[in-house]
Amino acid sequence: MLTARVPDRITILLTHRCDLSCEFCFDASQVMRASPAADVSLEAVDRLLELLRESRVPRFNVSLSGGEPTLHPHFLEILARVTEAGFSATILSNGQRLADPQFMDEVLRFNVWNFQFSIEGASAAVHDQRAGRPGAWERTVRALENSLSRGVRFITNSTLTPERPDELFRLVDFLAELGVPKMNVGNVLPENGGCNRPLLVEYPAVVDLAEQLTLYALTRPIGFSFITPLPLCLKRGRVISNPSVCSAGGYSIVMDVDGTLRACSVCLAGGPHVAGLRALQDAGPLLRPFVERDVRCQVPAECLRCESLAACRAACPLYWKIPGVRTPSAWAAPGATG
Amino acid sequence: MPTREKAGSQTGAAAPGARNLYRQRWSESLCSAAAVSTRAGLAVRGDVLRVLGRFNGGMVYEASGKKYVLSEHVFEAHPFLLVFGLEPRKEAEFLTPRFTGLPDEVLGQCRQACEALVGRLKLPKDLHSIEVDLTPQLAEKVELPPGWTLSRAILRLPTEWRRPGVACDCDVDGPCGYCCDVCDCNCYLCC
Repeated sequence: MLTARVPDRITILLTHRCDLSCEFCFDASQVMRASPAADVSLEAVDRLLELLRESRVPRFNVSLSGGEPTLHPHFLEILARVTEAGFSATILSNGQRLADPQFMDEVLRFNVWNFQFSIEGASAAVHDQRAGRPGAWERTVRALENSLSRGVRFITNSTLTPERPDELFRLVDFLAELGVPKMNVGNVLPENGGCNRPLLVEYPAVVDLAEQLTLYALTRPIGFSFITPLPLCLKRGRVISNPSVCSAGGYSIVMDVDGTLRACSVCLAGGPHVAGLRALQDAGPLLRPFVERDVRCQVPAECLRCESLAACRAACPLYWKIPGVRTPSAWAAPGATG
Repeated sequence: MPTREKAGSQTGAAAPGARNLYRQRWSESLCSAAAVSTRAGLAVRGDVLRVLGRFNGGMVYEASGKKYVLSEHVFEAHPFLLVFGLEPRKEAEFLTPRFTGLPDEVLGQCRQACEALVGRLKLPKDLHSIEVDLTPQLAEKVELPPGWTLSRAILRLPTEWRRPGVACDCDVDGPCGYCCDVCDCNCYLCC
């Protein structure tokens, strides 16, 4: 089912610590028990960078994520090492520290390809409540403004939840007025906090919202992508900005704070330890069984029989782990689908 | 530099006979004839967004009280997503089956302008998106009938185009696979 390819986009989870506590965070269970002692070590980062260099793929993009990666005590040092190794970095952040213009300037001394900032509402009241910290929205917006004033490439990420679908439309307006070039919206990722069923917009309703947001954003001066993989059968005939499909075990791999490899930054299924990996080319084949297991064990039998499975991959395999979610045959029930 | 076939590319270019999974996803999800949906989704307030009707290749919808027509067209093998703002008219005028697509005078103007533009289009070297917003370039070229405004024109880079450095930033952990199909570079930043 999965194509063989050398992973060439690497995400390093620097820490599971975070200064926010977003209600839908897929990393929630790890964030809650994280400690500074469990942050990724410089040795593990060095070992990974060495593997990247040895693989001789010329321009890796190294995503620094978490938790909140800027909380790592050696965040700038890691950025320096990524840059010295000849790679570019993407920084996935909640923007709290990057609201400080001085800190952003320090970060921009290195080879930063882009930022991805999480913003969860068009107002402080909504964002701060969702993120669990007063003042968070103001700092995130300052980080966006810092990026805009410095001409830095960045996008925003936001999460769709069922109780406030209208808020994302307001967020489109807000970000467009601010001058943000592009925003991403995704569904709750069904792991950890994301398994909190009331926060998940289920199939097929999420497809309606993905289309509506796409249509709305097309009327505003902002780029838009709905980034969560959605079932192909539900997307057919819909205007959704991004035909993305689960990439786990394909071109992208993730190194967790303890140096183990994962196929996905959300899925907790782990693979071999980086220190035991002789070549990056080995990582994909080693991780693939974990993904295959998820796909084979979790997705509905009717998806496994579907001729589009290779292209669709049943959207996010993790979705099917949630007890009681409706399967495609239920979507087709009268009144359930168009 | 290692020789790396794009074995995993969605085009399957390195694997004769392999299906182009990207194209399958793209064509099935975006370019097929639109079906009229009757599903009542999660409630979004009607004054925010309301789909008024669908036709083959597009739809009429209302966002923030203003009506729009979205229509997908392929001009000279280049897929365009066009969005037009409509001045207030009778709603029924735009609903299927009475409204089945762009009027000839609108389509003709767009075809001419789009074809002229793609013939001389130079993409920036650092382009990092599969969707190129050409609204400013096209808005001044098309002369639309009264009541019509071109509010968005997006070129979706076709897979036949081989441009270095074209990659997208559509996803947190990586793109959908389109990039490697349109990109002819060796950076493997995304694919």
